[in-house]
Amino acid sequence: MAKKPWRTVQFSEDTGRFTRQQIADAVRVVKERSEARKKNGRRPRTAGTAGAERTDEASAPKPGDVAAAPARAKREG
Amino acid sequence: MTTPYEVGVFINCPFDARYRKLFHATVFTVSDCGFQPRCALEAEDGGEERIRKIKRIIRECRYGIHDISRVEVDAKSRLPRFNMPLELGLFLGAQEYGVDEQKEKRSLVLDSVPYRYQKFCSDIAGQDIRAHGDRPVKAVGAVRAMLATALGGFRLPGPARIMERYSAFQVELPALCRETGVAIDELQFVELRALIETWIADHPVAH
Repeated sequence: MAKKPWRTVQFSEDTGRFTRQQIADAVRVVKERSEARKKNGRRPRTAGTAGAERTDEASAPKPGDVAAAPARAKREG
Repeated sequence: MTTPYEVGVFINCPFDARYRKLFHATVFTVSDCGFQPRCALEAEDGGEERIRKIKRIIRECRYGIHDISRVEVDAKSRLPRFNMPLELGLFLGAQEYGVDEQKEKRSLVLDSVPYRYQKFCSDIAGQDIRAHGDRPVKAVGAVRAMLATALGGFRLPGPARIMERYSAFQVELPALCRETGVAIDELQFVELRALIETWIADHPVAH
């Protein structure tokens, strides 16, 4: 029996200050870097390494952590 | 063919830092299930009166996710905040008194503790009400379950898979912000949503 199809992502029109292409490029570049690191088996440098530039993973929240990017406007309730 | 109304999910929740992990998890889950997350933070500088904008977004969304967990009394004002219950009421009112597609609206109500709503908002009994315990994994499961119920002809990733993907996105988010040249704490909702949508499209669920 044929499986049901997967839902496909719905793209919103409003992309803020970025163009859709800029976002696509950023996602692609970060994905490529991430895959390259996995391929090389490199461990991310820690943020405390003297003189070292922070790596993506070092500055990123761990899975399940508080998300780092708030929306501009805030509301408490 | 789906219309924007059929995929629109109005997210009615706090927008402060304390709620951010749940907010991001909810936005990601809605997108990963093939729906479009919407909220009052859209078109922030549009000049549209806030309540008018909220009513317009509610009218444009078939689904609503309402988190009423933030009912604590504010330390300064010693008063609770009522925005989320107000917007839940607007959504239920649109479903009740609206016509045509407005009648098809579906809601998920989230609170932090099971059955706590009975003490402060008991009139909503009978709605789909679930507790997330302030944990993203629970919110992901509840949102996914609500949207899965709404879908007949499509498959959705399971809650564990969505959570795994959400965690992977969160790991890459700081780097995505650097690539786009925006400070992470200045990322607007529509930009976060666009990043999530593009990331999901670029990281399809393995079949």
